[in-house]
Amino acid sequence: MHAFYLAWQYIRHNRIKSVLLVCGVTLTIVVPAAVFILVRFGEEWLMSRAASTPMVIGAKGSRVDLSLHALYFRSKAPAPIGMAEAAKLREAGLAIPVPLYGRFTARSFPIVGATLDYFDFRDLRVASGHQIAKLGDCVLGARVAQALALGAGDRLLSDSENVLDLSGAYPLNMRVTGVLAEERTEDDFAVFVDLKTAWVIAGLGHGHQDVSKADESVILDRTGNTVVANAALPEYTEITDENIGSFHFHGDPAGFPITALIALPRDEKSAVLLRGRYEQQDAAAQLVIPEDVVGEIMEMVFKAQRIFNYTVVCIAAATVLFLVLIISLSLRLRSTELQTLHKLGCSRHTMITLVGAELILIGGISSLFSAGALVLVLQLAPVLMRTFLA
Amino acid sequence: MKKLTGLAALCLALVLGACSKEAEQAPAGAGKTAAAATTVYTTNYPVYYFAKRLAGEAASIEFPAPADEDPAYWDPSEEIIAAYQAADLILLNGADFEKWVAKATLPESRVVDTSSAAAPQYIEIQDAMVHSHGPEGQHAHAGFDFNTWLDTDIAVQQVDAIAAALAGKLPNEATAIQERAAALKEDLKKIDLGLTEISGRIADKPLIASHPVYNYLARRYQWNLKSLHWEPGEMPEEAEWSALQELLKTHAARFVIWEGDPNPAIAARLKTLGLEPVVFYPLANVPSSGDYLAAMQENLARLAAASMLP
Amino acid sequence: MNGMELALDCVRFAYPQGRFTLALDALHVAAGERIAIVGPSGSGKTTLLNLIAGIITPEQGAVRLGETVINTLSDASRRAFRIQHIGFVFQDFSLLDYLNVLQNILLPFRVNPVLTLDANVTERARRCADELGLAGKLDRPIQQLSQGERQRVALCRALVTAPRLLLADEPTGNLDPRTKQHAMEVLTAQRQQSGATLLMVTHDHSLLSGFDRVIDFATLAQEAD
Repeated sequence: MHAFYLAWQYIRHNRIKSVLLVCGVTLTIVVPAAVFILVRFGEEWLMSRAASTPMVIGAKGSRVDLSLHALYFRSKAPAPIGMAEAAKLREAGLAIPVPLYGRFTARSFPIVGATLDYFDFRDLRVASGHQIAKLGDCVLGARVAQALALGAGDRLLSDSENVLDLSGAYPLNMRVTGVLAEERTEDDFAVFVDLKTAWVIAGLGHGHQDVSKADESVILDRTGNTVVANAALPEYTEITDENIGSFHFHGDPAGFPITALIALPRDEKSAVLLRGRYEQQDAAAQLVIPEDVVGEIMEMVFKAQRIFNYTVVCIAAATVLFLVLIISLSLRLRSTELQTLHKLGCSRHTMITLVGAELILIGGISSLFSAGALVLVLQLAPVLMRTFLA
Repeated sequence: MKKLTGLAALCLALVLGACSKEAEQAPAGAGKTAAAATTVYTTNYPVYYFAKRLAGEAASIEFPAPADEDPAYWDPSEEIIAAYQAADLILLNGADFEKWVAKATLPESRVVDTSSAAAPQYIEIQDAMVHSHGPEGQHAHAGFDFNTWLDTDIAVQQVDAIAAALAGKLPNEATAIQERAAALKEDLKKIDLGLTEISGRIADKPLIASHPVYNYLARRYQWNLKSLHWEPGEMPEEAEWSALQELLKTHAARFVIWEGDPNPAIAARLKTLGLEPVVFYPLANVPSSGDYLAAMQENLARLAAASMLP
Repeated sequence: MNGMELALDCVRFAYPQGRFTLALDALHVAAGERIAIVGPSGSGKTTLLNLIAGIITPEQGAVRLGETVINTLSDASRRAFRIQHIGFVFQDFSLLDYLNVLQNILLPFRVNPVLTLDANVTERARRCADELGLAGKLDRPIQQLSQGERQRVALCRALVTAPRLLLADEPTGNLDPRTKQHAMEVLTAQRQQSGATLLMVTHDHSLLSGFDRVIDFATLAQEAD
């Protein structure tokens, strides 16, 4: 114990040197360990969600963009496909279609237009308030609710897509009906609305005064059954019990857009059949297996990590050499001190113990700091992951 | 002493009360779990009736619309929507019958549009208001006549769709459901036969309906039918009366088919024009007595009687 | 507490590199005697003290302390013997600058398993420091002390094991005259209390009056060829 006492006195006295040493050792431990943890966490995080999402159908184009969009609502929304794709899937009876429309944001969080099947599929539970029930309703992911300090009964305005585009998305003042239980997945960071609500934001559906009863000032032409109103006809930006009746959609619902269609095949055979369908040359959309896509991404990450691992081994070896150098130099600098100890009757063994205690203390403190840093890395891993993926 | 006795009595009462409550709850709870095994929600009476006939005791069939409201224009509360969301199966009539569904969030994979197979046979309503604003151009808030079940062909397709959906949820009951479906279709055919017979008597005599809800009957049985836009409880304006008189000049009907009993004042005034009111319930909601079949037979009886008018 | 008798007999010592050899035929110091050793620098006075302390061992001859011939003991036993019986005040004080005054005084107890650090020892160290005028400075780092204070710390450290033989290697060499005088008084007073045998190497002839015997190292040892 005396050895540790003296070693601690030495470390305390030589503060700057000790701090530098601890920093060096800590960094040598933390950096590779943090990268390792993040890669594993990322893999787990990406793979678990990818593995739980059997198939994604979307517009032809980047498979990675489509997968990341369907899994994490990340990357710019791919080109939309028609809702008819979901209906086709359903009619074929091969898979349960889970359509998503993710083009808009609300205070920078993605608005995900989905059907209730998505909630069943991801096993998302409403923790407070209740599930979306009507047009204009939204439920918030746990982190969104936390970040925006919103709860059931509050209102959330969707971001306007482009302020200069008058014909584009009108901001919709959504009603927050509930907050989802925290899942520690991307679902915590999304605002969920009914597909139809997303279409209202997209301008495909709207509510306004009955034109036949509208103020004459907004009417351009009234011929027979046809009434032409100008743009001054006020459209509602908020769906309420009073005006919900006036909301209606224009166009063929089969052509309404979705950005990704998650397919949950009934069985192995259906999965194979479904893949066959989309592999045909004339298929309008593509079908991707997120697990394969993410697997490919991870393979690239692992390749990079392997190079990194070699670097880390070299750096670790260099660090060990540096430490040996530092210790031997410091022992030389301390020869007077060691001489004194010798003269005071300290045995060689005790001196080695003293130096050893010092190394153990430095190592111990560095390990503690490293552990702390790594715990922090683990805590922040979801946020870090999101930042990397952004 | 008195106080103590009182306290003891109170305790005893509480204990007994708790016991009896438990005793009450147990069977009720057990019954509920059995019934709650499969819950099916419907949106109108014909689909409810068909589903009930097909499922027997194997599933609990719900139709939560209030009796005094037209389920086609009904707007369910959030609590009721939540009940729909929690159902194992949601059977829609389709053909835009349940307008609220377009603005509600339902679990699509558990929703079955019972008439979708008959979509090519839907009858479109022609005289809807067309309007345009903004860059999208014209659109009409048009729709279909949603009283699809009045056409026996479509009703049979709806029964088939319901049978398939129920069998999917209750695979053990599949055979029984098929048998019940066959029986139900027989019953529907009998109504069809009755209507065919009555229509044979009517032939191409002019008919007037108070509301355009009988398009499917008119098409199937080749009625020479013109529709008004009159409500049974609302006295039409004079202009509408004169329009009717105008119509009668070229379309000399002997009776007016109503969806519900017209208000006596309307009935009396119709009689002055030589028109008999005949009630033919479309049965979108639960009949006040009897079931779908019984109510249909009564419709037939009233129509048969009217067809006898000189 | 009695002083320790000391006798060297036909001692021969050479440093490994052969640059210096020491030959000493006989030296006897009675228990409790106070001896000053004078002589030119480089003549081997420090080597003599190191031989007596058992820090180095002679190639020939015997170093007897009391009843023990220490040069025949094993390294460990010799070390133990030295720690238990000999106090040594080094020329350069040999204090550790990362320890404070009290920690320096108690250092022998921390690096030697044969000594046990307990409350008694600490109390003794405090008393000793008190007597040496270090009372309020026990928590001070060494760098904050004057040379005279450092010397007293070194002395206190040599005394705290209650040695029967006190060896001092030019303990006043680095001190100014006034401090030197005071230090000498302290040393004498402490030795008086303990009755330990004292061997002190010094260059300073002004201090010789306080000793029982002054040995001129040049006449004692013959430098070998």
